[in-house]
Amino acid sequence: MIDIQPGEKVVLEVRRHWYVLLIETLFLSLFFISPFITLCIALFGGIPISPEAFALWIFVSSGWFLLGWVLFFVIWTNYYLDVWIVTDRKIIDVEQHRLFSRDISEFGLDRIQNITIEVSGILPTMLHFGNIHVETAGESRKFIIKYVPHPDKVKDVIFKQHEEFMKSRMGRSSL
Amino acid sequence: MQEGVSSTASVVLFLEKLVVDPLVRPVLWGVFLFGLFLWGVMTWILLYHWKSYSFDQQKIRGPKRLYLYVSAVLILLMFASLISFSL
Repeated sequence: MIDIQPGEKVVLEVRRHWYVLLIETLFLSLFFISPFITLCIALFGGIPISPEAFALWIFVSSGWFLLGWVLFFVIWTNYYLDVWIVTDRKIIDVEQHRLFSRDISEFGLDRIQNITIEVSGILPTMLHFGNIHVETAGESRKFIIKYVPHPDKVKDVIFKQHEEFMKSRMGRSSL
Repeated sequence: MQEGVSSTASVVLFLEKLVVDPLVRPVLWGVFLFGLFLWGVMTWILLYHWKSYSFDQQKIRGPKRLYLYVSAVLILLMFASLISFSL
């Protein structure tokens, strides 16, 4: 479960770019067009179809679409639940591998040491997405979020929150 | 195109043979009920994930409705075509 403390403000939710979802669901377009292709070939090829055969075609096509529809939502769920949540105190990294398989880790904004962004390739440059690497103190592990839209803006938001968090912390300790 | 027409023609011929087979109706009803059961299981799994793991319940409401409405339309279409096929 995602743990947000009372008074803690969620600043940003970061998901992968829509391009990732498009690539992952591209094969499903075959699901949706294949029944129409067979019908078109039958109609334009002058093949006679009886009303019973047509009813059977509707039955098979609807079942086929339903399968594609459910598969699309399984992929979308994995996409949607894989998220970084930036609050004014910490960053929560939810890695959704597949249904019933997920990792949640979090680190305080005070532990951020460095953030680097990586945009490589024509498509990432044109569509403005890339990877963000966050190095934290005391962790050998690097936190990475891949295919983030506008990584420079996300980096700026995290840095801004980091600065504000450090200022408020110093203000509290000087009192 | 010619190849596509001939393969589609063979599919249509196969469908026409199926239509007159007396066994095909109970089999199709079985397929429909089994499909409905699988859809129910998958829907329960998806709804569980959206309810338990979604950070913002308000945002998930739209996709949830879309999923259920389109699924309902497709299931009704399957049911209606099966009824008209059985008559």
